[in-house]
Amino acid sequence: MKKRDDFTKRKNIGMKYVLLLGALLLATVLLSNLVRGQETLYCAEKTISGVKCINVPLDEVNTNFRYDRTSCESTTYCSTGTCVNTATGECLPSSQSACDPSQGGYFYDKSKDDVPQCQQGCCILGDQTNFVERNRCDTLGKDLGVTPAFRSDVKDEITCLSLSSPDAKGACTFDKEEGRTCNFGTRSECQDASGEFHEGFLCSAPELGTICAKTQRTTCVLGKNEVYFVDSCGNLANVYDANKVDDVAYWSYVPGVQGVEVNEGDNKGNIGSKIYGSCDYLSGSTCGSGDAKYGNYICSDLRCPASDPLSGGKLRQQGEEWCSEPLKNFETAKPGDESYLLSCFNGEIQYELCDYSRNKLCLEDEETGHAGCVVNRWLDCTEQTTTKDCLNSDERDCKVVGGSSVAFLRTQYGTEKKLTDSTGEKITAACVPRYTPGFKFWDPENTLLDTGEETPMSICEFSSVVCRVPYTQSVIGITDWRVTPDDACVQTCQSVEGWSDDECYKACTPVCLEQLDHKNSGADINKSWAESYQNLCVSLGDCGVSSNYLGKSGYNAWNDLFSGEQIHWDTLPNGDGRTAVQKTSTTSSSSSTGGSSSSDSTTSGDGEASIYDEQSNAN
Amino acid sequence: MNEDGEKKRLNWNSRGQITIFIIIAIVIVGVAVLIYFLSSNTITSTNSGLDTNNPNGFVQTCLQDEIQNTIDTVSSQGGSMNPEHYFTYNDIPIEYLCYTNENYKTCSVQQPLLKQHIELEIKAEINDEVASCFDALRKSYENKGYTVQIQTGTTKVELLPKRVATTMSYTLTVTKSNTERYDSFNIVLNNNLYELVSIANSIVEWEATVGDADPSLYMSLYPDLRVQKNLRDDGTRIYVLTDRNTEDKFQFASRSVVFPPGY
Repeated sequence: MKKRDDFTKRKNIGMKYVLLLGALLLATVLLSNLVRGQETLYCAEKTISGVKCINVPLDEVNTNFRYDRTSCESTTYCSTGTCVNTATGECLPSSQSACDPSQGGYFYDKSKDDVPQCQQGCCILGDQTNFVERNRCDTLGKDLGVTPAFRSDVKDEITCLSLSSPDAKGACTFDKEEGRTCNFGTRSECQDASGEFHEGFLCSAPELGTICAKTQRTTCVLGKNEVYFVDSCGNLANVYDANKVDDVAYWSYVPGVQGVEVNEGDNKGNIGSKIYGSCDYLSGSTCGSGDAKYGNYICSDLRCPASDPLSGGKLRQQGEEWCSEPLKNFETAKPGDESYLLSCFNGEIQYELCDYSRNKLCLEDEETGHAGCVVNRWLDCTEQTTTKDCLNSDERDCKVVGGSSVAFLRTQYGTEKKLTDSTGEKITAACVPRYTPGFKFWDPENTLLDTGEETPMSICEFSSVVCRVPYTQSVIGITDWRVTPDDACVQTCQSVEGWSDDECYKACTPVCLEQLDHKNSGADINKSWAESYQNLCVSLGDCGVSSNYLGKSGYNAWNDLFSGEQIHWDTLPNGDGRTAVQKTSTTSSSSSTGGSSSSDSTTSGDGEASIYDEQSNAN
Repeated sequence: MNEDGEKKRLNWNSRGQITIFIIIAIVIVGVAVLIYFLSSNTITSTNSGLDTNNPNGFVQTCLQDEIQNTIDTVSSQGGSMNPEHYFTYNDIPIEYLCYTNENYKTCSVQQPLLKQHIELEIKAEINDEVASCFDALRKSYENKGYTVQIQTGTTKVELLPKRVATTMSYTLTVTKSNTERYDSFNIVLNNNLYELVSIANSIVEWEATVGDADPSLYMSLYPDLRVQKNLRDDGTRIYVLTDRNTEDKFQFASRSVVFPPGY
C-alpha cells in the first residue's frame, strides 16, 4: 500500500514536471509565434528562393530586386492587375513585375473583367470552338491556319461548344489517267488542291463516277468519337450503321442531304453495339477496337467497372464523381481519417485528397452523380453563443454538445458560459465542429510552429477545464458534506449577469464531483460530466481519448485526461482505478486534452490542477 | 612393303586433308572478319555521313534528341530547366506557377507568360548543341572537299498546335563545282506542349482567382486530356496534365487558398 502511495506520489511529481515542461514548450512556441507575428514583413519583387511578389521578412528578400516595407498590394510593381500575353492573346491575373514586356507581356492595372481585349467569347475555328479572349481567338486562328469567328455574345463554354458547326464538306474529284479519283474534305481544301468540289456528296456516290466504292470497312478518327465507314479509296464516309452497309443513299450523301440521317441507336452511346457506331463521349463511349458486324471498331465502354477496387462496388458512369466516404462519417472522424473525391473518366478512376486536416471534405449528390470537395466551416463554431447560430447550416458546420463548455468561453468569475437555446434558456453545452477537423497529430512540433497564434494543441486546450470544488458541512460530523459555490463567483455573477441569487448560486455550483460525504476517502467523479468533456475533446479535433482510423489505440487513456487530488478515481468511467488520495476540505478535478493518436505530448493541460490545489475549506 | 607404302600414302593423304580444312577454315574466318569490319565501316560512315543536298537532315539528326530531351525535362519541371522555386515531387523539382506563402489567400501568378518562358528555356538549353551541330556540319562538308561558309544566326523555338518548331536562321554556303546556299534550318517535333500549356494557364488562372481548380471539368471538355491533382501536406498541389493519345505530359505546382491544420 505504501509502495503504491509512493508510486502515486512519484507519478504525480513526474506528471507535474511533464506539465511544467509542456507549459514551457507551449509558452516558447507562443512566444516565438508572437515574435514572428510582430516581425516586419517586406514586399519582395523577388525572394532569395525565387518567389515573385510575396510578403516576407527582410532576410528572405532578394535585395537585387525592388522591395518595400509594405504589403505587396500597396506597391506598384507587385499589385495585382492583368497581364495580356501579346503573343498568345491570353490574359492572366498577375503582378506588373511578372508581366515582362520584353517577353510580350502588357500590364493593365485593373482586373481582367475591366480589360476590353480580355473579354471572353466563343471563338469558332472551323470544326472547333474555344471559349477564349478575342486576341486569343485571333492567335488560335493564325496558329491553326483558319479564319476565326469571334462571338462576344456567348458567355459560357457549354453554349460555345454547341455552336461548333463544321465547314461544309463534300467530295473533291480529280480526273486522272487511271480514272476519276476523289478526296473527301472541305471546299477550301478542294480549291487548294485544284479539284472539283461537290458539296454534300461522299466520294462513293455512284453519280460522281469516281473509282471509290462502298466497303464493309470502318475506322476511328482522331479527335472524334464515332466509328466511320471508309470507302475503297480510304476516304471517310458516314457514321457506321450495319443496317446501311449497302444503302446507296447512305454511301452517297452527308447527313442532312437527300434525307440521309445518322441513326443514333440507343441514344446512350451504343456501348458495345455491333450495329451502330454513333458513340458519345459524355454518355460513356468512344470509338475503339472490337468486333462489329462489319469492321473491327465499335463504341467502346468508357465507364469504370464495379470490379475496380476504387469503384465502391458500383459501375461508375463516364464523368461520375463520388466520395470515398459519406460526409456523415466525419462527424466522428478519427485521427488519420481522410476524405477523397473520386471520378471516372475514360475507364480510369482518379482520386483526389480533399485535405489532410479535414478542412475540406467530399460532398456527394447521388442524384446528379456529382461530388466535390467543400470547405468544412468549423472555424467559428466555438464562438457561437446560441444554439440557433450554432446550428445555422447556411453559415457553418457545427453541432451542440451538451454537458460541457468550451474553456475559453468561461467567464472571468468562474462560471461556465452557456449556450442559449431556442427557448431563450441557458444550457450547459458547447458549440463544436460538426465534422471533426484533424491536426498534424503525427508532427505536433511542426504544427505548433506552422500555424501562428493558434495551434492544434491550443484547440485541444479549449476543452480543458479546472473544476474547483469548495464544499461545506453545515453541522460538523452530522450533516452531509455538500458542494458550495464560491462567494466571489456568486457576487461577480450577479454583478455581471444580473441574475437572481438562485441562478448565480446554481451557475457557480460545480458539478464535476459528487458523493462528498466520503471526506476521508475521496470524492466521486460525476460520470456524465467526465464523459461530456471527453466527448467535447474528440469533437474539437484530434484530441482526447481515441483510436486512429485503423482502430489502433492512441497514447491517451481516460486517466490521462483527468488529474486532481482527493478524487475517488475508481469512479472515473473507463478509468483503471487510480488510487485515491487523502482528502482535504477542498478538492479539484481537471480535465485536459491532447493529441490523441501518435503524440505523447498529451499532458499540457494537467498542470492547471496544481494551480488550484490547496484551496481554503469551509466548515 | 606395298602395304607399308599404302599405309604411308593414306597417312599423308589424311594429313593433307586436315591441312586443307584448316586453311579453308582460316580463310572463312578471315572473310567473315573482313565482311564484319567492312560492314561496320559502312554503318559508321552512314551515321556520320552527310547528304550534301540535304544539310537540314543532318542538323535534324544531330539536334532532335537534344530538343526532345529538353522538352521532356522542361515539361516535367513546370516549364523551367532549372526551377528556382519548386516543390520536389517524385524526386523532380517542379516549379510553382502560382504561389502564396500565406494561408487562406489566393496565389500570385509566377509565370504569366508561360509559353514564351518555355520557348526561351528550350532555346537556351539547346544553344550550345546547335553550335556544335553546325560545326559538325561544316566538318562533314569539308571532308567531302567542299569549301564551307557558315554565318551564325538566331535560333527560335516556337510552341505550336501539336508541334514544337525550332528554326535556326543560319546561312550555309557550300562550294565545290558550284555554290549552294541554305538560309534556314527547321526541326519540327510532334508534341502537344502548346495545348497542355494552354490548359495549364487556365488552371493557374483558376488557382489565382478561386483557389482550387476542378480536374473533372477539364476532362469533360477535353476527352483526350487527363488532369491529375495531387495535394501535398503543406497545401501544395501538383497538377499533372497528360495527353491520352500521345502521353505527352506537363506538370507544375501551385499553392493557393491553403487551410492549415487547426485554426
